[in-house]
Parts: sequence; structure tokens; C-alpha cells
Amino acid sequence: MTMTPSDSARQRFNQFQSKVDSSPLPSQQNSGNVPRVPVESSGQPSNSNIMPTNFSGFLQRINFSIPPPPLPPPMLLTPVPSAQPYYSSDFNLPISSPVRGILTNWHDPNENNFILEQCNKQESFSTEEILFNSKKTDEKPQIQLYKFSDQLKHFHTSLVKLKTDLENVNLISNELDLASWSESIASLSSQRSFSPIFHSKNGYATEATFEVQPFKLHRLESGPPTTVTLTRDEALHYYTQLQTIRRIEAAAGNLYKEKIIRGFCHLYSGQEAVACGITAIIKPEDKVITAYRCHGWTYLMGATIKSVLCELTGRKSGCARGKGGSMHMYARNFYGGNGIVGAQVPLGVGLALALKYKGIKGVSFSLYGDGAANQGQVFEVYNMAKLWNLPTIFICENNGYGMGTSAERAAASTDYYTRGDYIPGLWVDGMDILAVRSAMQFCRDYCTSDKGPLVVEAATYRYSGHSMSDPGTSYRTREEIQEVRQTRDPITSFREKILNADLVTSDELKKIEVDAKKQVDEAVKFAKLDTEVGLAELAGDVYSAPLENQIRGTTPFTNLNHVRVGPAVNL
Amino acid sequence: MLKRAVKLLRTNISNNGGRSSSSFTYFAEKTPENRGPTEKLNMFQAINNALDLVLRTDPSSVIFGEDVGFGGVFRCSLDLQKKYGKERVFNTPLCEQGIVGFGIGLAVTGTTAIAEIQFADYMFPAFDQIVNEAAKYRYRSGNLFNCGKLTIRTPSSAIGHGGLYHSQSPESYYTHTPGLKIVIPRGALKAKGLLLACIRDEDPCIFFEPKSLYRAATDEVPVGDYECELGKADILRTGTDVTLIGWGPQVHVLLEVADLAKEKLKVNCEVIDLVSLLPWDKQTVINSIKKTGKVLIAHEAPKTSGFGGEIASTIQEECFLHLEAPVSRVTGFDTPFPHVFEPFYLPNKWRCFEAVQNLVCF
Repeated sequence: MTMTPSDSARQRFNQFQSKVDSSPLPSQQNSGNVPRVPVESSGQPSNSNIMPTNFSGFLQRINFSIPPPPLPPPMLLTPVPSAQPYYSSDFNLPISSPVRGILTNWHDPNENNFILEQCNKQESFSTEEILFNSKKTDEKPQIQLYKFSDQLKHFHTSLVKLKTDLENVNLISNELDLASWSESIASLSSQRSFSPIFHSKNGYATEATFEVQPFKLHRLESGPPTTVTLTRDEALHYYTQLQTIRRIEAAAGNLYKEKIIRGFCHLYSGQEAVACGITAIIKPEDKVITAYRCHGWTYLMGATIKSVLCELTGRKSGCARGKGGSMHMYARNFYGGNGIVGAQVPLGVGLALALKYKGIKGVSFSLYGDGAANQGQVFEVYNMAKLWNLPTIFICENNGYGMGTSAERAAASTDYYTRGDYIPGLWVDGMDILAVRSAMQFCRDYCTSDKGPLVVEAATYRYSGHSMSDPGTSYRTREEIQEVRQTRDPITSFREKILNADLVTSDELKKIEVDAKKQVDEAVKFAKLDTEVGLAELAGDVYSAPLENQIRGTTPFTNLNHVRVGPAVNL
Repeated sequence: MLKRAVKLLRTNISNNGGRSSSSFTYFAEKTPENRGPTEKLNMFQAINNALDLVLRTDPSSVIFGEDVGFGGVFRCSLDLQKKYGKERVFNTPLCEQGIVGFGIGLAVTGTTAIAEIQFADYMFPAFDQIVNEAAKYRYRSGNLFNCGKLTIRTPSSAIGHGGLYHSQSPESYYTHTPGLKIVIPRGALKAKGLLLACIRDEDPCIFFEPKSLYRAATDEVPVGDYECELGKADILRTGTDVTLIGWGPQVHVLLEVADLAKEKLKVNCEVIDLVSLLPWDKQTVINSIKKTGKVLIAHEAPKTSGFGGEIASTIQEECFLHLEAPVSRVTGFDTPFPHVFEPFYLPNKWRCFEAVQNLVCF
């Protein structure tokens, strides 16, 4: 990352600019009923031919960026509970409210052709595109190219840190000036560190500190801080996420009982704090892969509630077009739920090698359960990850039961954080989102400073059975479940914490609860009414380019030809 | 046509309040004679009954697998732990490769090892142990050692809504491995007899239990001990015009097709349940085709490299001059097992009936 803006980079930028000027907006490009299949592979962006090949990787990574507009004075910022972040690309700031409309098409199942748009999107949106788009290209912002390599890094960290603030900032401005932007950030950051930036309403605090349960360490000299700071905005944001996941899972359970969701359905209720704690510190360049308890994760990683529920009901607005179902959901930087116990862990280590190989300062989070912790392949990749010092965090969500067998009866050692042996590890209370967040920030810093992998055990609990066909009471008592619900519930305890600290009012929380319910209810309604994908997609995407185009074994009256539904979005 | 098919699927969905859950109608076995008292059992109860019998009569037998302690996902080992103790019926960690390797180790010492892999789709991590270790132990040791006491039970095939990883029929991966025996029952009565035969057989056996039959297949099952011969196909219906070959739940689809063909086409079909795929009963199949000259093979697994291909090839070798039409195959599609499109993917009675019609009109 020592490169400075080169001529070729400028050239690319100019090309890009002219492309933006001449071509319609992405949202316009895809309007209308474009036939969905087959879509040819997009290949490289058109301007890549002129690029020296050795630069292309570098440019893909850092994405040209322009200095954002000056911030309005901090006093003007009004806290609004933010929606889930939309990540513009691998190396850009999370995009939220002000520019979100442009990106909504990615996951909005209301749009019939949303997948196509997602697929047609040859390049992810980068900051400048968003800015251009949001300006409708009427007035060109004045752009100053700067020492962007290092500067960008600095921006990036600052920006992500200030994510919640930025959500309320109007990014659309006529004059963009780097110096004032830097100053704004600096002033904002310093204010933030020591004093609240938001004026409290009705005397409520805007920031509070909490003590979390101590971490247990394995081969680590020091651990994450146990004193954590939480802002009012964060509190509202996390509470929304926790509530929404709980609602989604409740809805999924009901849909399963109504036999609208069929097959295998694994609920995350009780474990929400783990996912929310991780996504609280996750950066756009990070990768996540998890097992089959993935509905909440998919939502947190950017899929809409509708697309999660539609996937569950097998309908076409599902995030995998209804072809994956409960265990197979995907979103940007989210490499999926996985139906086979433990099979995702080696993949997560592969993701980490890719990050290291490409020189991206990101980490991969590989999640698995206490049951999967006994799979041989987990130990195989412990070895590989440490041998090659890969930036991966193994996260064992210990919910106490591997399917119907308790951890104690299945594992010789239930100290899952020590089971990497030569890999340092730490134990965290997985029922406390703040503890998870603190642990994950520590782990992420550790891994990105090239110290190699970590094994984390998040102690948590699942309220439902292993799957919907398991009542979850034949291997544990109802009392045990009740006790956890009453004493350790991640949502209730977080609620109490933020209320007691006067960060939020109960009315605000009530509103979040009502809103979450409303959103999920609407999504459920939609997921019931939506239709399946056409039969042609049964033969879609088995191969990238099959040599035999016609699918063998099909019926005489439904000859199926192999089709490509769209290019991959992960590359 | 496509539109009609989709409409059909929708009707199916709305009629059942969900996706169709069963693709066949079960044909119960005739109550056997001279086998003593019987009781009405479905397939999981019959399997439970067989396992109970083995544990009772064979003191060296043990049952292990994921969650078998409280009965397993499909309740096949229900109450066995209570009856015989945790030393003989026990849960393993979630590690298929370990389960099978462990089972081979047990079996090679002469212990009757009955391993359960929770779903056939989960068996692939154990593929190496099954194919390289279990199947070749006897051969590579010059018969000094063998793991014939190992039986792997595993639920397989479509269930109506299982999706990608709970619906596959992986039998032909294993039929490609000399040294194994592959058995698939068609109902409760056969399941008990075949499972007992597998457990006592001197070679490692994989016993695929079609999930859709666990509750749907109810027979009058003899209470006592009995075995069904391995490697012997059953002729379920004799006929002179077309031979229909299947196994597992597909047999019931073919029986229905035979009825339909008789009614609509005035054609007498001979229905054969292959029962065991490795070894498979070539003679019964050959005799039948020499009589009928026309054959349909149907299975749920995809067409390419499906076991139907092996049968078809043998038929053309042995019965070439008797064939009056090309060997016909109706199978799953060459796609991953679909989530919402299962009713299309499965070789249902209409697809099979159409194939019979084509055979007859050839």
C-alpha cells in the first residue's frame, strides 16, 4: 500500500468520470422488465484493458475515493436510530440513510429484477459513484485528488468509527474540500472521545460506560478491556438489531408451524448478541461465514428482512431466490450459512488466506457451534491457520448442545477457547453484546496486526430446539430454558442496562419493538404471497458453462436447458 | 406446458397447505405366513424392533451415532438406551469420519458395530473411511482382518421438503466400491429382515433407510427373528409386457404405474424391487427382460452415473437380442437436489407412466 496516485490511476479515474457522465445511473440501467436469464458473464470492467495489470488488484482494493463534503456542525446532528448498514464496496464507508435509496435495490424484494441488478452490477458502488449518483450528475462536485493511499486508510478508520454520526450527515454537497473535512473529523473525534457530541434530550445521557464479565484468556498476555463505552446511538442501533432478529426468528418458527416454511429451520433466538456484537465492529473488508443458524446473520450483513423470510419460504424474492432455503443464505461479504456441520470452518480460513494474499487488512470470522467443534476438519484448519499465520477468528458459539447432545457429553474439553492449543484464545460471555463487541474489537486488532488466528468461545444459549423438528426438551429441562430466559437473555439484559444508564427512554425502546414487529409482520405477509422462481431456474447455475447444455434426466414435456441466472457477486 | 407445470405445482402447494410431502402411495406387504405372530409397525418401529432384537441376542452389539441416545432424529433407536444402558447405546460427537472409523475399529475386533449417520447427506466426511478403510480391510490384509461386523444405517432420499442436504440418494457413490454391500428397504417388513441380515452379514453394509417410508410404510411385521436375503431382488408383480425396476420408495411409485398402465394401456407390467444394489440380482432382472423385452428403471438420484446406468448396461450385454425397445430410465435431474422444485425433480408416477407409454409404442 505504498503506492501514490499514479498516472494510470488518474487515467482510470478520468475514464470513470466520463463513464459516469455518459452512462445512465445504475438504477436506470436496470429498470424495466429485463429478461433475467440467461445473463452473460460480465467479465472485467471495460476500462480494465488499458490498465496495467499489476495495478488492477491495487485499484480494486482501494477504490478511488474523493474527499467527502464538510460535515455540518456537530450540533446539528440529530440522533436517529439507524437502519442496517449498507456497505458500498470492499473498501468504502458504510452507506446509510442519506444515500441508501440508491442502494436499496440490492436487496429490495419489491423490485422484481433486484437480483439482476445485483448481478449486473459489474463493479460495486464506490464512494464517488454514490456521490455522483446522489447528485444526479447535475452539478459536478469539485474533486481534489490527494495522497489517497494513506489518507484513505485514515479516512476509512475514522469514518467507520463515526458511522452512526455519518448516517445523519448530508453527503450531498456542492463543494468538497479535503482540509475542512479532515478538520471536521478531527474535531468530531476529539469531542467524541471526551464529551458527548449530542446534546441530551430531557436530561438523558448520551454515553455510558459498563463493566462486562471478565474474559478468560488462553496463551494471551492481556485481553480486551472489560470497561466498555456505549453511546446512545449505538444503544438504539443494537437494540433494533437484537429485536429484529428475535422477531424474524419468531416469525420463522410460526411460518414453519403453518407449514409454509418446509424442511429444516434452525432458529437463532437466544444467540443474537453474538452476531450483533461482531457486526458492531466489522469492517467492510471483513468476511463472515457461519453454519445453518444464519437468518439473523444474513439480515445483519445487509439482506432485507423480506429477502430473508422469502428465502425461508422458498420464494423468488429470497436472498438466494428461494433456491437455498433456511440454511443457505448469502449477502455481500457473508459467505453463507452452511448445512453441513463444521464444513464452513475450512472455507473461513480460505477467506483469510485470500485477505492476506491480497494485502487487505481485514479478517475472516468463521463461526461454528460447540457440536461442530468436534469435527476433524476444524482441527485441520486450526493447524493451517496458525502455520500460515492467517487473519482469521474462529468463533465457537457454545450454546450448550450439539443437536441433542450436551457439550459435556460430546466434548473431552468444553473449554472451547483453549482447543486451538497453540492458537491463543479467549472466552467471552456471548449473552452480552457489549462483551462480544469488546472481545471482537480486540481480536480484530490482534489479527490485523499480523499476529495470526484466534479461537474465541462465546458462551450462549439457544431457546429453540436444534431444528424445528426437535422440541428441545428431551435432553434439557424446560426450567433450564426458563431460567436462561429470565436471567441471561441477551435482549432483556441489554434493555435493562441501557435503561438504567439513562441512555434511552422506555418509550423509545417500545417504539423500536413496535417498528420491528411491524416490519417483520409486513415481510411475513409478503413472504407468503410472493411466488417461486420459474421452473427454468431449476436448471440454473449448476455449472458456469456446461458442455452439455441440456439437463439430463428431465421430463419430455419440460426439457430444461442449463441457464446462468447471473454473474457472481462475491468476486 | 411450462406454465401448466408451474400452475400444477402451485395447486399442489395450495391444496396441501404446503409443498407436497409424499410422492407415492404406500403398498403394504402381504402378511407373511409361517413366521409366527405379527404386529402392525411402521418402518421406524420395525427398525427399532430389529435393533432391539440384536441388542437382546448379541451381547457384543453396540449402537452409536449422533443423538441416538434419545432415539435419533427419526426415532429408530427410541428407548434402546433406557433398556440396554449407556454403554451399549450412546451418542457420539458430531464427527462422521470419526464415527465410521471408530466403527471399523470396533468391528475389526469382532464387536457388532451399528453406526448411525444422521442423514445420508452427512456421510461424505466419512467417505474415506468407508471406501478406503472399511471396504478394503479384508482384501488388503489377505483376510487376516475384516470389519464385516460393521453396519452403517443412514436415512436417505426425498422427504418432500428436505432441500439440498437432507434429500439426496447417494447410493451409487458407494456401489462403485467393491467390498461394500448396499441395501435399501421398501417398507417395514423388509426393513427388519434386511437390517438383521446386514448386521449379521460378514461384510460391511450400508443400510439406506428412505426417510419418506419411516412413517408412511406400515406392515404386519413378524415379532420374531427373521432375515431377508441380501442380493436377492423381489418380483412384486408379475407381468409379460414391460419390466419396471426400482428400489426404496420408488417401488411404490412403480406399483402405481403398473396399475395405471394396466388400466389405461392394457399392459401387464412386471415390477421388481432390486432390494440390494451391491451385490444386485442380475438373474432376476435378466429373466424378466427376456420375457418382456422392455424395461424401465427409475430412481431418485440424478441420471448421470446413477445406478440405473449400471443396470441398463448389464441388460444390453445379457439381453440384447431380447430387447424390443431401448432401455428407459426415469430419474432425478442432473441438478443439485432442489428446494422448491422437488415435485418436478422426483421420478413420479406420471413421468414413469409416460416412459411406459413410450416403451409400449416404440
